[in-house]
Amino acid sequence: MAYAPHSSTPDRAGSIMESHRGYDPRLWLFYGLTVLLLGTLAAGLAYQQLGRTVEHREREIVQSQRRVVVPGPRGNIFDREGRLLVGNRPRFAVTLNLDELRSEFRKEYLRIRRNYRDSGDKDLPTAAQMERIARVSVVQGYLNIVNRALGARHRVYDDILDRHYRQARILPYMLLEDISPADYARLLEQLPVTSPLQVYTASTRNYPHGTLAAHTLGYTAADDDLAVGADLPGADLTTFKMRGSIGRQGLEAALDSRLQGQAGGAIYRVDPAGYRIQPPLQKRRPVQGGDVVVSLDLDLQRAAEAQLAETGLAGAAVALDIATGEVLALVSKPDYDLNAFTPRLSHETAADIQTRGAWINRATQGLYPPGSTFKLVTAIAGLRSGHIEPDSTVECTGAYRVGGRIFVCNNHRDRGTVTLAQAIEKSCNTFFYDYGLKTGIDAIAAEARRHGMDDPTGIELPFETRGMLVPDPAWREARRQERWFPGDTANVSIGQGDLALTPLQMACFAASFARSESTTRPTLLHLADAPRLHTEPDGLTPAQRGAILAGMEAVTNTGTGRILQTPRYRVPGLRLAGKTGTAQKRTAEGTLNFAWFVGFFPIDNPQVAIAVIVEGDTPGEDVAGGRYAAPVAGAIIKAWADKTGRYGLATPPPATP
Amino acid sequence: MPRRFDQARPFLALGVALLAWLLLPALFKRFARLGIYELQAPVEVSASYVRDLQEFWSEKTRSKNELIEAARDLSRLNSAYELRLAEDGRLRAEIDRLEALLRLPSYGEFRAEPARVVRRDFTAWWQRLVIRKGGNHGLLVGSPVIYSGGLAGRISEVHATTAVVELISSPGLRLAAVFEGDDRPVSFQGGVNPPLRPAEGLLEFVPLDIFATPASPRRLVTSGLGGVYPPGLAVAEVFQLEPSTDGLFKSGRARLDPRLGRLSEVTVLVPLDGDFLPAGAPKP
Amino acid sequence: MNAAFRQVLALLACATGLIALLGQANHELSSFALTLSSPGLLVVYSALRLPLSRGLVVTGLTGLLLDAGAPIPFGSHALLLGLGYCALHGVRARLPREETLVGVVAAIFINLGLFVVLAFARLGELPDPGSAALRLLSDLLVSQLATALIGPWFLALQSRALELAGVAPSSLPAWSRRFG
Repeated sequence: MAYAPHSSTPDRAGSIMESHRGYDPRLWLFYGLTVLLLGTLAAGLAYQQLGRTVEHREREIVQSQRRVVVPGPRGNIFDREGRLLVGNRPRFAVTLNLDELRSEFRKEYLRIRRNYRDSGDKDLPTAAQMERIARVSVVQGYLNIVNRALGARHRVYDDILDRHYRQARILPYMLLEDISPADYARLLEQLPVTSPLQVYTASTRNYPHGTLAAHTLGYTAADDDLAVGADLPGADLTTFKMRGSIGRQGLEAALDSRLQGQAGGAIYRVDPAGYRIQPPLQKRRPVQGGDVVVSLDLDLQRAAEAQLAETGLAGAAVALDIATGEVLALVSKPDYDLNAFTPRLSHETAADIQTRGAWINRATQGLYPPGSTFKLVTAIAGLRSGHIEPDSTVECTGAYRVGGRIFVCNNHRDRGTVTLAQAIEKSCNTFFYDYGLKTGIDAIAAEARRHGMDDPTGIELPFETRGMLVPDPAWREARRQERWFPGDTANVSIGQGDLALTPLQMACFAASFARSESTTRPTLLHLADAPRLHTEPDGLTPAQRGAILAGMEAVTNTGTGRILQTPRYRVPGLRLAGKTGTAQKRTAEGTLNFAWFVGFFPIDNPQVAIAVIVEGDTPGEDVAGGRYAAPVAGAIIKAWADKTGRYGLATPPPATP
Repeated sequence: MPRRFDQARPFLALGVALLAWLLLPALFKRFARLGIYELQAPVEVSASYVRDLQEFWSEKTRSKNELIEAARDLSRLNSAYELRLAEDGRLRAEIDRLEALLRLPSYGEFRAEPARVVRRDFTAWWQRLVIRKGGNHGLLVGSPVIYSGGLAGRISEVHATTAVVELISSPGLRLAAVFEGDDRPVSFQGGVNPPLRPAEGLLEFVPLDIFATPASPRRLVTSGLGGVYPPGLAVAEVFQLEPSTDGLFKSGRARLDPRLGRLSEVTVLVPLDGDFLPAGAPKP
Repeated sequence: MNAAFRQVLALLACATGLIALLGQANHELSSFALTLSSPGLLVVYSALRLPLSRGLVVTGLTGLLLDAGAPIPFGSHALLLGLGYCALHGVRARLPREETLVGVVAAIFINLGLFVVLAFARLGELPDPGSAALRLLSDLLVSQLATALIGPWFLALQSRALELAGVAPSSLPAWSRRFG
C-alpha cells in the first residue's frame, strides 16, 4: 500500500496538543475521580491490612484450625483402707490416621476409574461413589496388615468409614476396638513406627470386685458431649471430641465432677480438604480426675454381701460407723456386674437386670414397713412421754382388743406378765399395742420424726427416695380424707400400717440411739480425722435407756436374734444390742414377709450400727428377722471382730508345746 | 542474559532435575538404589576384611604366656558351659514335657547364623549395622539379631552378601518387652542417643505397680508375645519410671548395654517356620 | 572416553573414597556415640570449579551414593546436596574460588546449612528431641572439625585425580599447587 500523507494532520495534531496543554475541567474531574478512587482503595486496603489485622487473623485461625479434645481418665475410688474399689483399665485399639492416606486414596481412585473405563462399563459410578470405593479399598488394605499380624479376618464397614470420613476425618479412624494385650503386643512389634496404623490406648472403667457394692459405686455411660475446661485453648475453634464417660449411678454419678478427668487435646491446622497437618500447633495431655476415698470397708461389705447372697432372696444391709455416720457397708441384692457397663451395656444384660429387679438400690430406695424394729421408737416415745416406765408391765394373753378388732400377738408362746425388756426381747405385740395406745400416735409420730424418719437421710447417693412415711391423723386426713382410728395407732406401734422407711434410715436410727442422740447424717466419704457427730440428745434417762438396752441385748442372747450366739456368728466377749422384726406386705398374690434386724455393737462402747432387711418372695412363707436378717448382721459383726481383733479370736491360737 | 536470571539458573536446573527424578518410575529408582549399594558393598566388605586381618596380626603379637593363660581360661569357661548345656538340656526336656502335658504350642525354632560386622552406622536418626552375610546365607528381613549381651536388633534389609541390622537403639525400632518376672507387655522404643554416653530407650504403657530407680534398676527382656523375637532376651536396664498424667500407665527410660556401640560379631536367628516374622515379611 | 565423562568419574571415585573413609571413621567412633559427616566437602569442588550441568550431575550422583546406604527415601541426599550446590554455585563468581580456605569455609557453611534444614524438618520425629538436639550439635561440631582438617587434603585429592585423568580445569586452584 502506498503511503498517502494527509495534509490536514498537522493541524489536527496541533489541535490535540492544544487541548492537552489547556486546562480542560473534565480531565481534571477525571483525574480527581481516579485519585479519589485509588485513595479509597488504598485506604480500604490499609484499613483491612493494618486496622483489622487481629480480626482477619482470628477468622483465618477459625477457618483453618481444628481442636481435638481427648477425655482425661476418671479418678480412682478407694475404700477406707486404701484398697481399690474402682479404677481404670487400659483399652487398646488400632487406629488409622486418614490424613496420612490422601495420596493413596487419590491413586486408588484413579486406578478404579481406569478399571471402570477399561471395562467399557456404561453404567459408571459417579466420582463420589468411586472415591468412596477407593477409601474402603485403601483402609481394607491396612486392615489386612493387621489381620495378617493377628491371624484375623476383620472387614471395613463402608457406612461407618464414610460417616467418619464426612464428619470427623481429623480424628483417627478406629479399625479395631478393645484388643487383647497379646494382640496389642503383636501389633506393637509388627507395625512400623511410622505407619499410619497406630496402637491407641484409652482408658475404661474397671471394677476389680465385679458386683461388689454395685449400687453404691455406680456406673458410667458414654458421653459424646465431653465437658471441656475453659482453660483449654481454642474454645472458638471447631472442636472434635473423642468419646468420654459420665457417671450415671451411685458414687460415679454423685461425685462425677470430682472423678471426671481434665480433658486434654490438640489444635491442628487443617488443609482445605479437612485433613490435619502434623505436627499439632498446640498439645496438652489429659489429666486424670481426682481420687476419692469412700467410707466403705471392703471386708464388711464383702461379708454382708456373701451372707445376703446365701439367702437367695432380695434384701439390703447397711453398716454405719456410729461416731461419724460413715457408711461401712451398703448392700443391695440382687445386683449387677459393674464391668458389664463398660464399654457399653448390652440389651440382653439390661433386660436381665430389669427382670431380676436389680436396678433399685434397696438400701436407699426400698421402702418397707419397719415391723417390730419400730417398737424401739414406740418405747422411746412412751418412756419420754411418761406413759411407759422402765418397769412397766403388761399381761399378754396373745390377743388384744382395740375397739371392735382383735389384735394378736404370736411372737412368743409363754403368756403372762411381760416387762419392757422382755417385750423387746420377745417382740411382744401386746405390750406395744397397749402402751402405744396410751402414748398416742402424735407422740409416736413426733418421736419418729425427731429421728429424721420422714426425711431423706441426705447421703451422697443420687435418687434416694423421698417417699418415706410416718403416718399420723393429720396426714391421713390431708391425704385420704379419712379418720384415724385407735387400731391404726396399734398398727403403727408395732411398725405396721402405713409406715414406710428405708434400711438406711433404720441404720441411722440405730446409730443415733447408740449415741443417745436423735439423728445421724450418713456419709460415704471417708475422712481420716472425721469429727464425731453431735446432735440433739434423745432425752432418755439412764434407767430408761438401760431397760431398752437390756431388752436389745437379750434379743441377741436368748430372744428372737439368738442365732447370733451360734458358733458361726458368735464373737466371745462382744455384747450386742439388736431388734428383729418381721413386717408384712399385702400383694395381689398374698402377704409377703420381710425380715428385719436393727442393732449395734459393742453395747459398752458402740462402734457399728446395722440394719438388715430380707424380702420374702413367697406369699405366706415365714421369713422371720431372727432367721434371715440376723445372720447377715452376724456376718458383719464377725468380719468386724476379725479385723479389729479386740473380741474373740478369728482363728484358734497355735498350740504351744 | 540478565544477571538475576543467571543467579537463579542453578536452582532452575535443580528444579528440572527434581521434576525428572519425580517422573522416573519407582522400579527404576529401586533398581538404581540396589545397584549403587551393591557397587559400594565390596569397598566396605574389603575394609572389614582388612580390619579382621589387622586384628589377626595384632593378636599374633601376643606372647606365649598370654596364650597359655587364655587357653586355660578358655578351658575353664568351656567346662562351665558344659555344665550349663547339661542344665539347659534338662530344662528343655522339662519344657517339652510341660508343653505336651498342657498342650501348648511350642515356640518357633530358629537357625543361628553368626556374622561379622562390616560397619557400624550410628547417627541420631538411625542406628544400624551392616553385617557380612546376606541373601547368600538365607537371611530374612525381620529376623532377630542377638549378641552376647542379649537382643541387638532385627534385620531391616537383606542384600546379596550383606544385610543391614536395625539396632534396638534406633528410633525406628519398637518392641513389646516385659520386665523380668512379670508377664505384662510394655512398649520399648529406641532413639535416645546422647553423645559420649550409652544409648537409651523409651518405655511406654508400663503398669503402675512396677517401680525402677537408678539405685534399683529393673531388667527388661523380650516378651515373645510380639511374634518377632523369642522370649527372655535381655533388652535394657530400666532406671526411671514415672506415672503419666493420665494415670493409666508409667513411662520411663532404659539404658542400653554400652557393648552395642562396639559390636563386631552378632548372631542372626533365622526363623525356620516363619511364624516369628513381622506381617508382610517374606516367609522362608 | 570423553573429558566430561572422565571428569565426572574421577570426582565420583573421590567421593566414594571420602564416603568410605568417613564410614570407617564412624565405625570406630560409634562407641563414643558421635558421627562424622561432611556433605559440604562432597559438593564444594564441583560447585566452585565445574560448569553448572556437569557439577550438578556429579553432585546428584554423589547424593545417590549416600542415599543407597541410608534408610531414607532414595534421592533425599541428592536433593540436599543439590541445594547446597546451587547456593554455592550462585555466589562463586564473587569468591576467590581457587583458594583452599574458601573451599573449606564453603564446605563448613554448607554443612551448617544442611544441618539446620534437617534439624528443622525432622527433629520432631525423634522420640526425644531434647537429647537428639544435643547429639546433633555434637555431631556437627566434630564434623566441622573434621571438615577443617581433611578439607584441604580432599580438595587436593580431587584436583590431582582430575589431573591424572587429564581433565583438570584450565587453571589449577591453589590447593592443588600446595598439596600436589
